[in-house]
Amino acid sequence: MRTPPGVSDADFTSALQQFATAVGSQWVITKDDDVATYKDAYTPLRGEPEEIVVAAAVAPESVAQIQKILEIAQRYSIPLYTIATGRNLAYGGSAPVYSGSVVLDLKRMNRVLEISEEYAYALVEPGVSYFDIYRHIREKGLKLWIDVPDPGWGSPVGNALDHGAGRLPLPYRDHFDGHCGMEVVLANGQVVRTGMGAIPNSRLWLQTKYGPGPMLDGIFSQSNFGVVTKMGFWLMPEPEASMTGRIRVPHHDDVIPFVRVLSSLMYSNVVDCNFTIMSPVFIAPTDPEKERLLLKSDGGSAQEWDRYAAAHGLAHFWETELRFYGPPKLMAAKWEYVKERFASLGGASFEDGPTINFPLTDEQIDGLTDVSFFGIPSLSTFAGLAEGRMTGVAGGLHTTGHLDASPLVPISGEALLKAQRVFNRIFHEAGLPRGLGFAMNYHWRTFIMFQGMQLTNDKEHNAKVRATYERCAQAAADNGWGFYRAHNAFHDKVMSLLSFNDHALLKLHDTLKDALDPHGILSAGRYGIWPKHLRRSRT
Amino acid sequence: MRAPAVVWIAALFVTNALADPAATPQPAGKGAPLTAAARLTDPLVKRGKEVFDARCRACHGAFPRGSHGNDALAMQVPGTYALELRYQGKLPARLEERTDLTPQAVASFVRHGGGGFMPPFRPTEVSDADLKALGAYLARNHARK
Repeated sequence: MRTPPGVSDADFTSALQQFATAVGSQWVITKDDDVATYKDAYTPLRGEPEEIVVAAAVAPESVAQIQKILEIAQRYSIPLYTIATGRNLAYGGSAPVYSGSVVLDLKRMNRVLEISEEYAYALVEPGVSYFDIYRHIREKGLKLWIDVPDPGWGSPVGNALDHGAGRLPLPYRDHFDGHCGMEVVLANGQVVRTGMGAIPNSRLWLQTKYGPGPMLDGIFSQSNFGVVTKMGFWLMPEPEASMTGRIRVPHHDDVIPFVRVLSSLMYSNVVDCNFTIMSPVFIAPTDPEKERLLLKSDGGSAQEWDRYAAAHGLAHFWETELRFYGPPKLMAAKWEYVKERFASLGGASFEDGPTINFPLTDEQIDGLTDVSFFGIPSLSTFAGLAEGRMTGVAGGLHTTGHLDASPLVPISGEALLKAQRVFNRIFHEAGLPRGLGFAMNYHWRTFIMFQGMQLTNDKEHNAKVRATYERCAQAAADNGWGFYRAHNAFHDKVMSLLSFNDHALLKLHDTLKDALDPHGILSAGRYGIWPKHLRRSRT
Repeated sequence: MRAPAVVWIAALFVTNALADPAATPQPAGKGAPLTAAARLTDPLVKRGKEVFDARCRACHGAFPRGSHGNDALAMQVPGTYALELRYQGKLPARLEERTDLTPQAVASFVRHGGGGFMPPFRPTEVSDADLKALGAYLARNHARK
């Protein structure tokens, strides 16, 4: 067992004893093998001196126990790091930012406190997973869906606080935006409910986000200023049916009007689904001619790419699949309107997809490969790592996880093409396999252009991944774009890029930190917010 | 046997594009529990199955029926899918069908991870008592050999 930095062995021993009194000795985790389970399983720092370590963990099951833990942590200046289900893989997992912290593990706070079919909301604790809510809904036979991120073992609370997103129409897909109602324990132990939740016996807490006064929920995202112990989420009523429609356009430069029409439909709420713009040309396996074009300073002209596509028998340069939910008549009308709008582009082609009626039977669910579009959690996303060796490179190394650079770019064809050029060059120079030819509207009015990287046990490779990640972050900022979320190891880097007016935003974060957590016990360093005694000068 | 044929980035981020909503409906499918109730009379083994259902099945459940030759469907249980790629038929890909697992091996995988993309599970996710039960469940065939 190690002692947190800046804490004496005697103080740490006393703190652990008092934690045990508060939560029970079983739930103070100090055995080395058990403590090691809190390390980031997908760390890009594997085997490096900087690899984040954990001193211990403490796992309360109630708000009262959290209050006691915070009191003890303040007494002995113990750095805590809050996790919910601890499955934030690719973004730090259950490991802290400040090495040697004690993890405040909220997994045992796993109660689904309320689900209302009438009002279509759920109130849950942080240790509840998407699987838990889904099971609860199924067992009760409720006609509700919860939007799920790709890995279903995550926590709705944790995922929302880290700005995660899923697949359903808005507002459900943007998990923080889809929340309503929050209870927080402040560092001083005070329990606060935000918005209308501050009215005793509130009947509105989970139905309206606003009360009189400032809306404070946002400052508790990322867990810097308090410990969130309850959150409400709006649930989507199960629709009558869902259908898809696919749109394809033939030429390279079609992406510009293609995205313009699509975004207009999106801003008008005719299209409200999660969609991915894909290019069969860019996604197809590479060859010398494609590499030559990609590495040209202009990324290859439209004419060159169209010639390339024609030579390879690729009839479509871009495509997307739209999903509609609701009454069949309404979906059909929307799809017809979408087709009318795209027909003006010339050369656009359409493919009607199947219609699925709800509720689904168990047999139907088992035959689906896209369950997340129906509010059903799964872990299928990890199958992409199943081969166990790096793909896209000869003699690939054994893989131990993945890392996602997560840049957001404006939702336009021009930005998509430019971002592809920018990130492709970075990956090419690093000698890493790259993802080309897709952009997703994960959150609402932006594209996310994930830049996935595989991690290995090879230090040289992982160093290359870290450098590439940082280059992507810098390149994004240089172009006026930004990461929506980042792995723990890069929080300082990505936050340093928010430098408008001499880092005024970060200074405001510091001011809030000093006011709300003056002893600096909560999640030190998360997203670049450090307590005063650990704060470094920003350049 | 299944050949590794996926592009990992596509699988991670654009599964919607790979998806085939019209895939054949499956009667048993992913996550279908074993029905060998006779072997579950031991309370420890029975508890172990509950732990497996809650914590392991989403990754290590049975392949959905109809997944032969349909990677997108087989990938719905990524742990089973990965083990099939690894073992190439030499061992069952589905943990519940293994006859060589010991409680010690199960405990090691749970607490230390699978060496690939499977992360460790913390004591708050699988307690020591539940880990013992899980080991008893997955080793039940081994014990009867």
